[in-house]
Order: sequence, then structure tokens, then C-alpha cells
Amino acid sequence: MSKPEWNKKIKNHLIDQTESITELKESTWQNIDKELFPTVKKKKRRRRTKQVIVSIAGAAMIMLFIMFSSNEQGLAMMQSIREIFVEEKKQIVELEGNKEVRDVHLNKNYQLEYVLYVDESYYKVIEQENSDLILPKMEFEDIDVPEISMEIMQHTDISKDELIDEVITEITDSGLTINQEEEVMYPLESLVIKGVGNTEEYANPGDTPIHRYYIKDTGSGQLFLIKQVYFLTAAEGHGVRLNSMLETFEVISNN
Amino acid sequence: MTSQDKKLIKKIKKGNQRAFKQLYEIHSNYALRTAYAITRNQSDASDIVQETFIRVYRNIDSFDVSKPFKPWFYQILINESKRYLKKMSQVEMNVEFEHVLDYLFYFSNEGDMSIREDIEWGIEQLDEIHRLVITLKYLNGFSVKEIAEMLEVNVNTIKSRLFKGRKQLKLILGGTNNE
Repeated sequence: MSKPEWNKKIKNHLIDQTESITELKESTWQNIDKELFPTVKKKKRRRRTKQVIVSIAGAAMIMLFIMFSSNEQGLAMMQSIREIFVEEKKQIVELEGNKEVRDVHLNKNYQLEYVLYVDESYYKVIEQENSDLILPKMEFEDIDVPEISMEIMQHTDISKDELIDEVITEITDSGLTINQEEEVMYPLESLVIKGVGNTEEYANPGDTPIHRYYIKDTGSGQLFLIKQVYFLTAAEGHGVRLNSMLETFEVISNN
Repeated sequence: MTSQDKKLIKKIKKGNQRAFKQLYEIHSNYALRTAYAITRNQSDASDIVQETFIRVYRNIDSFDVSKPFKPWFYQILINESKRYLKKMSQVEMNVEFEHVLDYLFYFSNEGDMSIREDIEWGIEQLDEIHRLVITLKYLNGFSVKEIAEMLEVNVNTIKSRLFKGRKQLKLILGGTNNE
């Protein structure tokens, strides 16, 4: 028997002898699915309840900061309140109908006076002079991937209307068209302004950029501007993940 | 790497679970066959493939998409298989290669067993090292160089293991060393 014939014989034998294991393909997937993407049986309605509870808790904490941060006892109280934000917790993220339980880590910025939980398996936080920039952890060296980012900025010397004008100018100057401008409750109570590029201008329509801005007015002359940048194909991935992180955004006060 | 693998991996990196399921659909059959050929135990093979895919998903960020996926994937699968075999204390059950040869000579002269039964017996009785290279070469179609890289041994060692593995099977079938 020639060498190729032997080789073929051995291969056929191996395929034949391992045929029965393929019956376990589906059950093996079920185990993987259960381990990686555990289903969380929670009613959607509960998210709203949770949001209300979080908002009440957040407002209470702001009040306590204001009340107690002016003296020594107050500072100690503030410290303990800071400890209320656990360093790590689990968060449910719903992507394309599937629910994922993610480990998220607390990112505190006392200068910008906010906290936010970050999914550090996907993202990293870069502290800049006047803002925090959240970028994908994975660096794409050889592939040209459109920008994905979330920048958190604080404004105290500008009115809300002026900030809205600035955002609108920035979107239109980037060549994007505004397709959403409205008050929203999710991921945080704020005004959202969203700009989308023209798909016809991109070789791959999926690369069309989306710039989403949230303007959060704390009501005390303090405005937060959160700018998210992603692209059409990533809308159901990063677009959702960025908002899930933003859902945990809380204002803290150092005054 | 096939362009399909590349597209799927890019999507998985962005968190697309459906893309991960598609990747499973493409590679799971041969992964299961390979794990089964190595362990000869269906339950263990399923567990190994399960762990392999979980590791792939959790470490997909570290995978360089400019490199081929299959060798990276099978390296994880092989490591999982070894870990599993060690854990299950099955390594001790492997028969020494030289010992197997004695049996092969015996059966090759008996002539009362079917050819297929002989091969089954031979592969099953090969020690882990020889069974592994034979499986990677003939079931998965990897080149000698790729197997060497996966197992982190030199090319000549793999050639030698393949030669010995093939030789056993030929002897079982009543062939000669020169074939």
C-alpha cells in the first residue's frame, strides 16, 4: 500500500472511530452557554425600580455630603459614605437578547466628583487633565478599527444651553447628522444628543461613526458631559456596554 | 486563518455571543473528535472541549487575529487534555510504546481479527505522545511544523513520533516497514 493510501486509511479510521462523540456537541454547548452566559431571570420592570432606588440613594448621599462635609465630623462621615460604593460588584448587561453577568470595578474621581463602575475585562480608564477617558482594553495593532471611547467631563462655568450649543456644533463639525435630541431616564436622567455619520461615505457601512452625548445637570451649577464614540457595527456591542457602565454613574460632592 | 474565523473573532472581541456560537459550530466537531481520540472517554472529551471553548472566550482579547486560529485553539485543547488526564490519573494507565510494539507483532501474526479492529486496538493502546501526534496529523491535518509549535518540541521529534506511530499501524495491518 502506498504512503498516501496509508495516510487516507488512518484518517478514515480516526474519523470513523470518533464519530459517536459528535452526538455530545449540543450538550457540550449547553454547558458552555450556562457557564459563560448565565441566564438571569429578572423581570424588566425591576430595572426601573432599581433605578428609582439608586436615584433616591444617590440623592440622599449628595445631601449627606453637603450636610456633613464642612467640618471634621462631616469629613469622617463623607469617608464612610465613600465606602458605601463597594470596590467590585456584578452587573447584568443585555446584549442582543442575551444577558451577561459582568464583574465591574469602581472608578472614583474626586476631582470630577463622580463614581462609575467599569467593566475592566473590556475597558480601561485613562485619567486626563480635565476628564476621564474610557477606552477598550484590547489594542488593535494591525487592524484599522474605528474609534470606541467614552469621555466624562465636568463643566461648572457654562450654562446648559451653551453646552447644548457646543455639542451640536461639535457634532455637525464632525460631519455627522443629529438624529436624536431628547430627555431620557436611561442610562441616566439626562439630555441625549446623538449624531450619526453618512453610511454612503464609508467603504464599510458598518464603520459609520456614532457620537452620543449625555448632558447631566445636577441642578447646582454643575454639568456633566459624557461623550460616547462608537460605530454602527458596534452599536449592539460597545454601544450597549458603554451605556451599561454609564447606568452606574453617580455624582459625589466634595464641597 | 480562514476569513470566516477572522470575522467571527473580531465580532467576539466586541462581545458578540452569536459569533462565538458560530465559531463553536465550525470547530466543535473536530475538537470533540480530537479530545476523544486522546482520552478515549466521551465524558472526558466533552469536559475538555467545554473547558477549551470557555478559555478561548475568556482569553480572546489576547489572541492576535493576524495569526492562524486553529493552532492557538488546539494548543489550548491539548493543554486542557493533558491537565485533564493528569487530574484523572490516566497518564499512569498509558502503555509504554515498546510494550505496545510487542503486542502489535503478536496481533499482526494472528490474522483472525478484522483490520479495523486491529487499528482500533493499536491507536487506543498507543501512549499519549504518539496518539496525540497521529491524531493531530491525520485527523486535524496539521503539518509537522504546526504540531511541533503546538507541542513546543522540535520538528525532528514530531517526525520521529509520527514515524513510530505509523510503523505500529502498518505492522498491525501486516504491512512492512518499507511501505
